[in-house]
Amino acid sequence: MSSLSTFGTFTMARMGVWVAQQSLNVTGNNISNINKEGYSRQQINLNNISATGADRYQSKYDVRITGGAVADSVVQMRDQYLDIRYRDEASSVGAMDAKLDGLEQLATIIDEVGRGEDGEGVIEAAFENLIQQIETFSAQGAGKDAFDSIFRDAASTLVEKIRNRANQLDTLMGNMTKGFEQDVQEVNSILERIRDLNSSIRRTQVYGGQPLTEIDERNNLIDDLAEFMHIDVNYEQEDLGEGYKVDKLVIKTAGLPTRTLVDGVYAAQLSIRQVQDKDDNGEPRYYINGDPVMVNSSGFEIELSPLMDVNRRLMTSPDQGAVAVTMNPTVEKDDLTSTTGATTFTEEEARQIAGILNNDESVYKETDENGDNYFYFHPYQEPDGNWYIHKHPVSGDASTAANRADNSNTSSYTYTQISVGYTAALATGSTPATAYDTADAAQEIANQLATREKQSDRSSAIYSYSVAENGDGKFEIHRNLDGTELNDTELYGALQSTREMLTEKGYYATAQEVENDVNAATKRGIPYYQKSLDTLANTFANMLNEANMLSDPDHTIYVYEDPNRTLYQYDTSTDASGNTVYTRKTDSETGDYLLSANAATVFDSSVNKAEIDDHGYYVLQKSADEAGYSSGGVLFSNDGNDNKTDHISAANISISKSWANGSFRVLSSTKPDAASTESDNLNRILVNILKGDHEFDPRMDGLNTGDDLPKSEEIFFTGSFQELLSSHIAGFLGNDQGVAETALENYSVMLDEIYVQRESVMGVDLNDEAVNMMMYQKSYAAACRLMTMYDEMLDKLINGT
Amino acid sequence: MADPYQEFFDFLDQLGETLDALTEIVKEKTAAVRRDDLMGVDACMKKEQAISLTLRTMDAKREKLAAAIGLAGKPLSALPDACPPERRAEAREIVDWLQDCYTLYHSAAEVSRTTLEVNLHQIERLIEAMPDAGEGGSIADIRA
Repeated sequence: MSSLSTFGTFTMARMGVWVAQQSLNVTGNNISNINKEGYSRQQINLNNISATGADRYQSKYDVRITGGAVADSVVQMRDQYLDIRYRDEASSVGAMDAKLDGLEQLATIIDEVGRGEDGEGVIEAAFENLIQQIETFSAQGAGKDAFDSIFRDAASTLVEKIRNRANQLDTLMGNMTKGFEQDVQEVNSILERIRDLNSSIRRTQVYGGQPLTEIDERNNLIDDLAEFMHIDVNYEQEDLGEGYKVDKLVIKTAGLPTRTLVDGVYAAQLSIRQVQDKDDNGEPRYYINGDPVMVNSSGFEIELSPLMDVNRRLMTSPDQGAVAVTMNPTVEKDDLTSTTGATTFTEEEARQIAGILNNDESVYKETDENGDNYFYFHPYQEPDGNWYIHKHPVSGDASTAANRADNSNTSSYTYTQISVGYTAALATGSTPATAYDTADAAQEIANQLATREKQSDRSSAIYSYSVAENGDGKFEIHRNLDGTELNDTELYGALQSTREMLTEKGYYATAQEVENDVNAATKRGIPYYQKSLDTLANTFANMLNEANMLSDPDHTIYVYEDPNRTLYQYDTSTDASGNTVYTRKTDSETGDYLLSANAATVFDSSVNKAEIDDHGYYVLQKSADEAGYSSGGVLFSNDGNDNKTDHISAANISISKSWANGSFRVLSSTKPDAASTESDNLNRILVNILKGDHEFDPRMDGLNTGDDLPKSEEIFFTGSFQELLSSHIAGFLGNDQGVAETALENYSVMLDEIYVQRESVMGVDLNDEAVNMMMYQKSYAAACRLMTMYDEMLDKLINGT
Repeated sequence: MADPYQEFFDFLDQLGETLDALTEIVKEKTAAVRRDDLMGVDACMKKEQAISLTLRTMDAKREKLAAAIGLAGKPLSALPDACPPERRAEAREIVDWLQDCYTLYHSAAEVSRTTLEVNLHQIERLIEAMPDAGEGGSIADIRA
């Protein structure tokens, strides 16, 4: 500015007043937002006004002075480094916090420590009581109804407690699932709000404004998001043209591979995929306890949508172009003994179909009661000129198709009747796109194509297919990328921890789950505890049921029938309902009933006394009505109103109907001619079963089949039922809790420290602001005084000269 | 003849104990950083270096022992599958325990590293804010 300017200094003073006022405004803003969560302290940046170029009347001896101060910008005081570290720690805290929360909820159900009497656990106490009752039973009560009743009551208490635990675990699973769904909704809401704020910030910046409030709000949301998953936040520059750039926020997942969650005004959304598995007939599958079986057994696959703006417009087109389709034949075969009905083919078809059959183990291998039988399918042209497929039996090495061909008996065969279908699949290689005459034809094929494709990083790409006309009047199928199904270990944070609590099975992990996550067998969530409890209940019930069946090698028992008191031989079997059925044995030649050939045994008891009747036959003093007691029966079933013993689990274990109504008793002895006071079986139940060591493996209960079949069938524990409960159920839970607690404590302390350091940068300090306020107030006063002085000077100059 | 599986189990026991010792040192280092005890940090780092040398030796031994039981190049979680059936339960227990040891060590080490880095960052900012901090005002120069 020229030193000869008349009003230039007036302007300078005015600028000083204005700048001081702006600075006071910023200070005031800081003070009024001191308690606002996430508010970043603002600071005004000042700059000099410096005119360039030569003044018209400038003297070469004159000194150039700048023309005053101007408020250049208002900036937020933040340390990006601390922001990054805070968010990293937040994800660790979120992960451990969610995990510990889940474990603590499990502990309210599983943790037995000190919840029963005398410091014992509840189920443990029930086990102890059962053991005590059978000790008493064995010592004093063999054969007596009263003791059987007491023992039954103790068993009933135990199974009721196990069922309660199972039901509580189911309830917890349901509640945690709802919590997980809410977490995903929360994440989606955060992503949407960040997207909307990005849009608002961008608009403000385009118009030259400074959206500091929105930036603060966005930072708070990013901090919240960091607790759910580990994220990587970057600020890029978006070129608006003419060299004008604005900031663009990009948020990606921090793991490998990286997934983009937010890119400027576009954001993705998460969803949970739960698909119920179907059986071979296409019917939905359920577990025995009624829960739906989910595909891949995990049931909580997380899918990430493509990036969309607020109007759901996609950031990039999902269309990956037209695809080539190949039709693969699928065959179903029947076997015939004559050509009537046998399918005829062309030579090419016959060879192709035979090749398919010879490579399908479910077709070339058949299993019957004698074992596995192998076959070879041979295309053959008969004299009628038609080609048929002959099915030859194979004897010898059947390990490969070539071996089966070599070892097939070509002189013995049956005809096959084949129905051939075709399924569509994407062609591999650089095949030109397949064109169809009509849109309907193309759509029919498109409906058959796979919508998910496994990727090398164990995620799955999600596709859909649409039909579009090509330039030649034909129709092509286009593949669209609709999203990604994340792999099992991609996320890290509260979301992943909750998901693991809902899905991890520990030793019961399936082969697919171990393939997706090498550590799956050592991660334990609610399913692990459910399945462990199932194994305990199932093994306990089956062992006791087996122990309560008479173990005569040929299943013969000896009863007499009133009033003849003739001793016959009987076979015993179990019907579909688990009831014992008695069938009198007959001579295979004469058809006569077989009489007992039991050696004489004399009993002293007045109740059970062997006699020799007039015919020289030995009899036992047990009537047909009492036969049920002598042969034992099912003690535990999967339904208290029945005697069924299949698929007994923790959720359904019950006292059997027959035991409950007294039709069965606990078998005191397995000797068919035992006295009523003998207790060899009670001792066996006590020593070998209730107190004895058993080998537990993940498949032994037979409850997890198909896709849910555990990969391992190795013994994971050898010990008693109570030891299984204390070590591998409650013990593991306690251990996992301890580790999670320690890790959470470490991460939480670190997070607090970083928070304090971050606040020291971005937080408002009243002392600082008070000093600034005084300083700017003085500046304001000085600028005003300067203006007054210039006013007097000008007045002198204009009016006084 | 020595049982290669028992040797490996004994080695894993030793490794777990070493990890536990390392975890304690790391916690001590974090505490020293928080109370601005440079000498304490230095002492802990020396102990860490000593244990690192031990771990290096142990790593060589691990490779040899793992190869002897067919576990070369495979993760620790594959140990139970590599053992004979009668040793698998024991192997599983050791794997679980060692993984827990590592989880605790990892969380403590992460906290220690973050604490150190954040404090170093703070020091750098302070140095930058110093009036005589010019182009040479960095921590590297102070150390030199």
